Amino acid sequence: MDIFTILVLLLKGFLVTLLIFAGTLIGSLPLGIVVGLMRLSRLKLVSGVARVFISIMRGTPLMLQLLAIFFGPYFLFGIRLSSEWKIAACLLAFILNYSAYFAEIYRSGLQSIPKGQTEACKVLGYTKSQTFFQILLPQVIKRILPAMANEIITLVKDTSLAFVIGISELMSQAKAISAAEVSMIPFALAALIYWVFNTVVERVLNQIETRMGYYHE
Amino acid sequence: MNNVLLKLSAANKSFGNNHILKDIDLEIHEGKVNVLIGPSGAGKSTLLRALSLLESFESGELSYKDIKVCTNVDGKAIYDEQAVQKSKEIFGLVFQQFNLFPHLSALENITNPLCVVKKMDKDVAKQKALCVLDKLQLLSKKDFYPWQLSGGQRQRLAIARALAMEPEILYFDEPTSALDKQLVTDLSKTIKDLAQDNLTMLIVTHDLDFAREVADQVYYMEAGRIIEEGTSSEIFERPKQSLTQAFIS
Repeated sequence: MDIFTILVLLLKGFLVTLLIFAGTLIGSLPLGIVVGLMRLSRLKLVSGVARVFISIMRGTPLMLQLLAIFFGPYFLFGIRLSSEWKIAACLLAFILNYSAYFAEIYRSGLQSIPKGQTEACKVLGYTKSQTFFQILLPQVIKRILPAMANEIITLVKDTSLAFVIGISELMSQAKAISAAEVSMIPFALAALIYWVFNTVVERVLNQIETRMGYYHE
Repeated sequence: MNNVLLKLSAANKSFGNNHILKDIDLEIHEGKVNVLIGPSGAGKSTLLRALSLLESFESGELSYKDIKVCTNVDGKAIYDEQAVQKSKEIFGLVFQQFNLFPHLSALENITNPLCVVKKMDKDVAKQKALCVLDKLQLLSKKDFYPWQLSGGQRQRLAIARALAMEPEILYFDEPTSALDKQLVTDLSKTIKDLAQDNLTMLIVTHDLDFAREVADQVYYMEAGRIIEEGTSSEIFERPKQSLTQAFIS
């Protein structure tokens, strides 16, 4: 196999990586807000549920969560696992796991906004959801962007864990080709692809940060 | 022309064992500059926050015009959520720290509440905001963000934001605390202009010179009680209570 063929195969794997990456962000960024708000709820039951969820998701390996969610239906109910379920289970595990991390970031961001902002909204007559979406969230996003960037870059690399449930993303492609060809080159190329992609992600995040720089506190 | 805008009776409030407000009665009539003075720790700001519905009274009755915000049931103040929401159209508050929205421009700080709370059309809101900004000499700063404004300008923007909502009574919490002498003079002028337009105000301050300058009606508060009330000249020139005499001399 020449380098070009290897690269084409790896890029096919990268498309799957990209799918997991994008799918996880689309699902977990909003879900994280929900979990974060639940965590801050004054209702003990609601905040307790969120607290336990976050604790389990952050306290156990993502690899284990992937395996548990993927094989769960078979071991619990004897359901045969389809290949569509494979990618769905993968996305589900990633979204749940990352929403827990994002929830904690949103929570810390929300708590860092001065109380006067909420009070001003109260006096002006904003409802709770108007206060959140119009006034708090835009300010929270600016504050949490650096922490978010960290998680998002980690996510790019974490997608490689999908290989434990047999999804042919970039990492499993590299491993398969390397074994077949008895060569290090596929790994080196995979590393290069991850790194280039992360550089792009970093650029985009920096740009957003710059765009949010129009105001200070 | 002398309607009661605000009526508070037998109001109490404590934080833990600390009894902050003791049996407060207060009636504010339309069209006057009311100033609440007193030493720090007297409970002035807590009273203003409770009137702004940021804190709740433990007992007592509060109504804005004909809206009964809270009533006494078995010695406890029970708030009516709908009345709370409705009464917010009657009062406005200029915070001590202004609490402007840092991510919105001066113009947007005014249009956002108009569009979001009053459901006003965008263009109508903008016209209204420009008009209020002009009134407070901030028209040239309309596209500035709060961090680009000076302390005095920020306060005027906070006043503009509150005014645009067309309150019938405007509250000020310690408005002179962040201002130098010149700015206090400017603020006095702004307040007198607003009074000319028949806006009712209630101002909490410990700045006696400023109070003397702007007040029509003065309330003296100490240790959680309103000890004396009267016109500006009654309180500042012929105070009856010894505590008031001690404070203003």
